[in-house]
Amino acid sequence: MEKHINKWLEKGYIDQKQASIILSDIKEEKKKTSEKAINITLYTIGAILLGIGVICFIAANDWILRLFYSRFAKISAAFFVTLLCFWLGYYFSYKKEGFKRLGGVLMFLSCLLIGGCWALIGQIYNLHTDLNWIMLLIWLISIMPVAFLYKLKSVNIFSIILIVCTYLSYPDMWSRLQTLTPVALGLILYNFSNLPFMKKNFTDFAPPYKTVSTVILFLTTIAIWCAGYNAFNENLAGTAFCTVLLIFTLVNYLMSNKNNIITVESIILVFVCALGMLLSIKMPEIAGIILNIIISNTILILMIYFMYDFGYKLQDTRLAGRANIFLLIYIAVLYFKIGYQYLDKALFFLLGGAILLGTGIYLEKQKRNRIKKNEQ
Amino acid sequence: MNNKTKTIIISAFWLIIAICFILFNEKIFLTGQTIDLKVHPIDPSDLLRGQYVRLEYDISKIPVKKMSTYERKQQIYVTLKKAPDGLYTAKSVLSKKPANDELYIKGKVKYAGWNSTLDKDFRELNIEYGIENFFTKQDEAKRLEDDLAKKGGIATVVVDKHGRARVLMVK
Repeated sequence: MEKHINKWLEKGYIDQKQASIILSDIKEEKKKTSEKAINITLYTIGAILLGIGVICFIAANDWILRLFYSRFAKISAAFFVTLLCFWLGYYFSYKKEGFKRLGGVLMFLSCLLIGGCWALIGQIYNLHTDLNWIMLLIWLISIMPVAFLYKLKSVNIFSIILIVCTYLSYPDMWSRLQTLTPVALGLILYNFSNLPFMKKNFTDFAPPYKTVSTVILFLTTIAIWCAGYNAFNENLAGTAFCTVLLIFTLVNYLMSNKNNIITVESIILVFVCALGMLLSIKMPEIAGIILNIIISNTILILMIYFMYDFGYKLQDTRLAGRANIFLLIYIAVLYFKIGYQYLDKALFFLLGGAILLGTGIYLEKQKRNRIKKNEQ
Repeated sequence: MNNKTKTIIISAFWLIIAICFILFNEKIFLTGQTIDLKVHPIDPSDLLRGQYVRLEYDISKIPVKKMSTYERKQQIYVTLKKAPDGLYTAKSVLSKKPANDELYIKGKVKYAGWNSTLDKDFRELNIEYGIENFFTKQDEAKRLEDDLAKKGGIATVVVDKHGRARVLMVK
């Protein structure tokens, strides 16, 4: 910003006095922003540490808990602390002026503490550890209303983490869906973010769901591509699941406003569903391997290309940054798959280094061109 | 809806979940029968996951005829009988709930394996009843684990009329 002000001063758009006022305002604003950032960081880390501390305290079944002779007294005490934290969060967010951030963090802390309460009940009744997925599900159900009613981003992100943990801790999830386990998770999260009510009322909530699902789907597609024929497992449940998700994707698309982004996302999801269905049917090995290569690479290239395209069109640097990382991973995997097998070892490393440097230089040049274009 | 109403709704929602969760488990204690089961010595090389002790009972491994088919994760019902020493042991293994008023415990088949001590017409059914964990303090868990490994122990368990069980204590 200071560079722009000096330019305006040189061109005569503003005088020295105006430039000094603007610069001092900018300094003041920067100071306030960094103080705010420090406060938020301290609050958030403090809340997370407190939450983890309470959960560890309950897990250790420590002497303080044992002072409560009755199990109802233990549960009541834990609940009292959780509700107190929640209500304090409400008070500081909506009643007391100037402490909104603290209020939000206290509400987040109460969402951690409620998980501690469920863990305490599980411990008191000696519930089997195979039922951990139920505890996680109850925890998730407890905090989703907090995320959506108060529109708290921190709780929303935490709920996504719980969705992934609950899903993966469901007994025998991997033996039921096998290779499709992460594919199914990615598709569920992505379709959830594209639901009409999410796009209409919770526009800030959809991106984290999309981010997590994109990462899961991208890495899973890479793994499926690398696994080759080993990724195939005859799995009727998987075929049925992917068919249902395919229908859901199409219905979701038809009910939406069908802009470019949604159309592209739906096409990629259809390819992912097709890959899922392909992996769960029996077919000749060669046909399977070829189809796997074609569909996996189509998905990966489409994802990377459109992330760049949308990232630059919408000026979303995080999307473009993610596209950079995905491209790097894709090139690395492609190079290792082909290069390590067919090239001489020394040539493999030399060529690899040259390709990476070349790609870096090209991307840097592209970035500079865009900055120059914006400045003009 | 104002923010105070939302806060009240969520607080009430959490309380309702807690009450349902507690009642579901308390029902077993209120309506169930207390029995003592022999706890097997535990292999001391087992890792102590978190602050709980892993328990294995006499009724966790039951010999069944080779011809009987039990699949992994199949729900089964084990009828119990009281031995002269006051401890309960397995009487029979059924695929369906017993028709009479016999005391039974619900379990899931882990796997069916061979045991060299059994007759060749029998195999050993390994079963889980959901009472294989006992939560306690870390140092107490270690002491209990050592005691169980050396001489075994007795677990006091509550079993309700639907075969659901919860561990009360281990000594």
